[in-house]
Formats: sequence, structure tokens, C-alpha cells
Amino acid sequence: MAAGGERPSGGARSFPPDLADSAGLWEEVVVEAPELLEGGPVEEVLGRLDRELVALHEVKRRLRELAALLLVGRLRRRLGLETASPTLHMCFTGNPGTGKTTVAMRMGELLYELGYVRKGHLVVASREDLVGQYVGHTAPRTREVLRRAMGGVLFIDEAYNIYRLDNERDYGQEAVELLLQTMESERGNLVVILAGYRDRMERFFSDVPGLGSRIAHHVDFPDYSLGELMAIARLMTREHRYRLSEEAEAALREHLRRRMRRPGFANGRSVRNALDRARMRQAVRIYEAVRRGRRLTAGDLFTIAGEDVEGRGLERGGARGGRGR
Amino acid sequence: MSERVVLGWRDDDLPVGFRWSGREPVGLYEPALAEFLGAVWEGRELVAYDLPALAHAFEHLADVYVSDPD
Repeated sequence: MAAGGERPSGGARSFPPDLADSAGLWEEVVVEAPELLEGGPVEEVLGRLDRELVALHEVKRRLRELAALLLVGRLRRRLGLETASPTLHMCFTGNPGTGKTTVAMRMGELLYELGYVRKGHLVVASREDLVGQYVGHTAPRTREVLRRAMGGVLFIDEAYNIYRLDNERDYGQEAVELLLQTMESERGNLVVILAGYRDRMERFFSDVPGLGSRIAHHVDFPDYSLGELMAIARLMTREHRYRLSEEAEAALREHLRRRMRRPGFANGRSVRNALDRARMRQAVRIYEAVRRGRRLTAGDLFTIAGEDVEGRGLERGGARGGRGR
Repeated sequence: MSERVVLGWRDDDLPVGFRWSGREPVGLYEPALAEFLGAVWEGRELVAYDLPALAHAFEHLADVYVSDPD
């Protein structure tokens, strides 16, 4: 029996220190856990991530695992089984346009809903935001970014750029030191996500002692396949209330297939750029057609045709010519 | 006349114990600082009745403005 002969309560915050002696007794204590049931705000955030991001099954699985860990951690905390703030700093590795920033944004919302941060907002920073150009310039810049991010998620893109190991006069080291201090002292108030290419992040962790050990979760974002890029394109066109004609789909697929093999390819971002150019071409095509006396239909306004997508002229050197064929 | 704005809620069940509502000035993080700047607790809610004045005071505090040399 519990101390004092009373039955332990599921809502109690005190818990016997030696669980081995009384573990059997606590098996009968029912703990209310409405947050684990379907339809809660946490599920809503994870559902939004599912809808927003094509594929990335492994990334989504990691997020669900983390959500489960933190939800159960919250229940354990209620019983006094957990007291320390968990380390939530993360590292997102992957090529550009693989969804790291979007996931970081949802991570902030998730941690807010789970009650692990007070605000849940996302602050995106890079070397330019953190590192100054003269003595005494770096600390105030870094502190200001940290202040703005407090209570939410600080996402540092291409984090390895902060610190230039080959330049001993570089002020980046000061920013890294402040960052490390804050990651430790404000563990319960700020979540830092360091992001960038995988190989460069690994080198960064080995160059900066103490950084890697402060990162609890590593998430790798793979490149998208051609089929997934097309699914992203469909999602984006739907979001912008456009429709790709059959010819446009085929042209876009071909364009992406070629684009994937060229330097500077940026996954989802390259899809977005291709669609932005297609929308531009569609607008020019409609404009010119109406001026030539063609009757305009509502369908014209939301349909992207094959000729809008090919865009070789625009790809190479900006808007060269109207139709780009 | 003065609008009642809920800046955040206290919730002892949460690991962080308090959550901001999103109506608070950008960069304001500590509830105690909001109190210092004029917010009041009403039960579990941290409330401001003059949010523009509170935001203005916070901006001064955060060194957004150049300090008066006198």
C-alpha cells in the first residue's frame, strides 16, 4: 500500500522514489491521458504535415516517434516520474528544397501543442544574422537572434557557415560559443535546429567540440524521386488554384527529369520555380491571346498548358521572349 | 474602451507551465516581464488592458530605441 495506507492517485505529483518496492501497486492506478487520443491538437499538426509534405515517410515517422515520446514524457511528469527538461535540439540534414524549413516550422507548432515551448514560433537565421564584421559586433547580433527565438525554434540554415575554421580572425567562433552556452542554459526555453548538407554538418560537429553532444535528434531528409516531385507539383498547383493539363504534366515531368541531373537542383524549390515560370508564361500567353481578340474563359485562367511549362528560354537567362518555345 | 487581451495562460500540466497566446509583442518571453510592463493575472490568464502601451514599453526595454543620453 502507498505511504499512509492511501491508494495512489493518477493525478498525484508525488511518487515513491523506489519503484521496485511498489511497482505492482501502481499497476492498478488509472492515468487519464486524453492527449493520447485521436483528434487532439498534436494529431492536427502531424496531419497538416502529412498533407503539406509529399513522401518523407521516414521524417514523418521520426516526428511521430518524438511526439509520442514527449506526450508520454508529459504524463510521466504529471506523476513526478520526470523532472528534467528533455534535450530537444536537433540536426536536419539534406539537400536544398527537401522540406527542412517546413518541418522545422511544424516542429515549433508541435512542441507548442505538447507544452514543451511557450510560443512555438520559428526564427530562421544564417551566418549573416549571427556573425558581425568587426570586434564587438557578433555578440549583440547573436544575442538578438537568440532573444527573438526564445520560446520557439531557432533554425540555423547551413549552420557550418557560422564557423570558419580556416580563418582564425573569423568572428564566427564567438557566435558558436554563445550558441552553445544558450543551448545548454536555456534548454527548456529554446529549441535549436541546425541544418545543412549531411557531410558538412558531420564535419562541423567534429570541428566544434561539445556541439554534437548537445543535439538529441538527427533527421535526414532524402532527395525526392521524380514521381514525388510530380506529386509536389500537383499539390502546389492545387494550392494556387491552377490545373496542369495532360500536356503540361508530361512537359513538367520531362523538364524535372532533365533538371534533376543538372547542378543547382533544389528538389521542391526547383518544382516551385518551374511552376512560377509556368504561371508567368501562362499569364503572358493569355494576355497576348486576348489582345489578339480571343475570347477568354474561366478555364483559361486556371489551366497551365504544355507550352507554358517547357520554358527553355526562361530557364537559361530570365524572361527571354514571351512564349519561350 | 480598453480592449482585454489574453497574452497567455498558466497551465501546470505543461512542461513549460505557461503558454503565450500569440498576441504578445514579438520577443517578449518572460511572463514576469509582461507583469512588470503592466499585464495582470486574472486566474490562469495573463491579461493586458493596454496592449499598445505594453508593446511600446517593451520595445524601449529591448533597446529598439536609442537611449536618451541625458
